[in-house]
Amino acid sequence: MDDRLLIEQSAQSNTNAFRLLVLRYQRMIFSYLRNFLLPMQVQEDLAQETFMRAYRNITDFDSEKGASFSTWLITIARNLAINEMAKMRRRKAHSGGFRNEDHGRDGKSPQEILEQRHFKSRIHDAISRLPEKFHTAVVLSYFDELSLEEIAEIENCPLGTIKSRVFRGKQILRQILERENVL
Amino acid sequence: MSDPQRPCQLIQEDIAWARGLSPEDQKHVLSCSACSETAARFEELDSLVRNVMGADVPSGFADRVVVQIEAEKRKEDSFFARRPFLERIFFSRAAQWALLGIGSAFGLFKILRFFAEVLIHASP
Repeated sequence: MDDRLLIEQSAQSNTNAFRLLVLRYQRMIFSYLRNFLLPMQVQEDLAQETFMRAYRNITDFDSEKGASFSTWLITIARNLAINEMAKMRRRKAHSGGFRNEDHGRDGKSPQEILEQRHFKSRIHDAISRLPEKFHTAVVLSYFDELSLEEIAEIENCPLGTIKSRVFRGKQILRQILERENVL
Repeated sequence: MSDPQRPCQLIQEDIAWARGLSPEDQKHVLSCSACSETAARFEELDSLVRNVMGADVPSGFADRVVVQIEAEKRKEDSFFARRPFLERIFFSRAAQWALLGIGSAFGLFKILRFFAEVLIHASP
């Protein structure tokens, strides 16, 4: 079933249609949110809020204007994640905490903290340390379902700028991973 | 006139973008040490990142979203059902727009009437 039909049905309050849309895009949204290195519970809350907002505003979504549903969802998730990061930074500034304190706050066991230091986590950590303007471009470039035009729309900048950001962002990412002896 | 040889910088940006190169660019990459070095470095990075990119979705996530939506809908329905007719009208978006339109038209009429009166009094 194509997106357009599911969106039309969802706009008429058909939750079965929207459920199919959630199933279709949930992996993409989780993969995207994962790169902000937020606690798992927060990632899930943000993913849920992304879909809730999409459902509440689905009548505003207009595929005729050339926007794709995935672009629209990523834009919602991105705004939510950036707001959450800002909130966390403010909380950290108030408490004078460090990154490691987050692990305690999330209630993770020592075993989980050790797992966090696993190879995969180090890569996610490196991605999360990319400067903001490179972070989104690099992360989205790994989603094959998103075209250059769609990423440019999310980032609200020209196609050439996105390509330059991906190039420079990947260079920085490689440097971080080399410093961490991952590459 | 088409450019037979694009600058290395543009080709390297396409390599970083990783969605395929034109046959001419591929030929160039194989013969240019800077571009082939870039291709090798990004290839290594991409294979590493792509391996960790996919996230596991918590089981039952879509169902939880739908349950939440339905709970919100029920809450909204009961909110409207409990309120008298006039109050429900004020919560309707169409009614709010209509009231705004009436208010704006009335305001505009008053302004125009004011100017008309000033002009009539000012004329000899």
